[in-house]
Amino acid sequence: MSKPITDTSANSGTAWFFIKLSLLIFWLGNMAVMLTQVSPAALLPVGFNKLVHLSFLFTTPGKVSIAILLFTLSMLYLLEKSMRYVLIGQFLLSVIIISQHESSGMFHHATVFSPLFAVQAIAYWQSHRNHEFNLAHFRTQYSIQIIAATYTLAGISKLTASGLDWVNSGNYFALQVIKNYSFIYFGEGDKQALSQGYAIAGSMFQHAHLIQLLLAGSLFLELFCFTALISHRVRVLYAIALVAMHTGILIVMGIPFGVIAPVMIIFFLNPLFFIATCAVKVRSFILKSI
Amino acid sequence: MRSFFSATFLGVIYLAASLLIGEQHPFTLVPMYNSFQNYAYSFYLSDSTGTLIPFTRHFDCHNDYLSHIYGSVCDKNNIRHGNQIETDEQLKLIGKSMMEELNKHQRSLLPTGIIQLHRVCYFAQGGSMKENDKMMYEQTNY
Repeated sequence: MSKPITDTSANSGTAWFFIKLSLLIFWLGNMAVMLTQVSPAALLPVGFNKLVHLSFLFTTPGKVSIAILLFTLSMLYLLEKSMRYVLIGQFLLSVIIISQHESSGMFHHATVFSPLFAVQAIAYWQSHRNHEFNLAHFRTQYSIQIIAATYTLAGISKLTASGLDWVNSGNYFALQVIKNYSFIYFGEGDKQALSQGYAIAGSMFQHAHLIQLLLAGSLFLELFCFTALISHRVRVLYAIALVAMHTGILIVMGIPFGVIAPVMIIFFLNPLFFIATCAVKVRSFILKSI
Repeated sequence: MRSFFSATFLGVIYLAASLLIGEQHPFTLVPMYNSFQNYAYSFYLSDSTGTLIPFTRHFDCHNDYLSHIYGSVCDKNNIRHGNQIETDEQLKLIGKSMMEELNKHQRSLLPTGIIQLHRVCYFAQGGSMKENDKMMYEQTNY
């Protein structure tokens, strides 16, 4: 029989279990997609692949070995076994797979997985060295710092590449919109997507000021993402704003939620834990009513 | 102040390291959409009559794959690219390499006959959007 959820705080062991479960499902799914897409030959070696040639890992036997290792590490991670070493393993596997994938000319934008496991490993090693270290707090908090840093980097990147003028690029933004919708048409043959793209891009040309406002809002959210670290309440509000931003990007540009958005939702909102807690409360309410 | 430092220091270190090192995994500058160019390229496959061949039905890749490998192939061959500055000869060379890369991900056979690789350039002109379709490369599929 499963253990009832008694501690509903954000740092409880149960909350951490649901974060790990959500992250694992998402991580394994992404690693599996990348693993099936990569080949041993790299088009243009980038990142880790510039330093070490690990193409043998992406032959069929190599891929099977990686898949077994991914599954084994995932089980140990979920069961909270040998975490200091397991997390280093997950970090290294993420680095190797993502580097090979990017070297093949494909960009899954899954970078955030590697530093996430690295900082969780740091938390577990700190706890091993210092028994007074608040592991329950920092294994999640360090991860949230990495997510906030990634959003802030996105904002800084926009400012360094385009300056504040980035918010005035509505017409050029419309070109990106039609490009993204044309990808769907050219790749999948969905003619309706192309028509939708033309309609959205056309209205963006017409409503330049509204687009300017939305771009400014999203730039602000990205740049000040570290404010999400102030408190749990601020983090929840920030997550809702970021979800609204990503939903807007999905509707306007046809770009689905990438990797960073679901990871942010997992760590900022922990939806599986929220659902489980609600289910327990509803159950106890029903039992009391009876 | 101290508590804010301890609440952010790893994130700040990662941010600073990424800014220093640049786009080298596991560091990143998150460059997606950091600047909007005055043009946008998209790519497609067609038969000799120009009828679209949706490539994700034949190759195991995302629908933005051709766009990504276009940049990688240009970089690898030191070809300056963007806003239709590439010559026909360069486009032919790039197209050949792109098809070779695409073929590594083949899932099902393409139709027999001529297969063309096209580049569409979208650009803004006079407050509206224009587009220019260019056939880069063609090969015969037996």
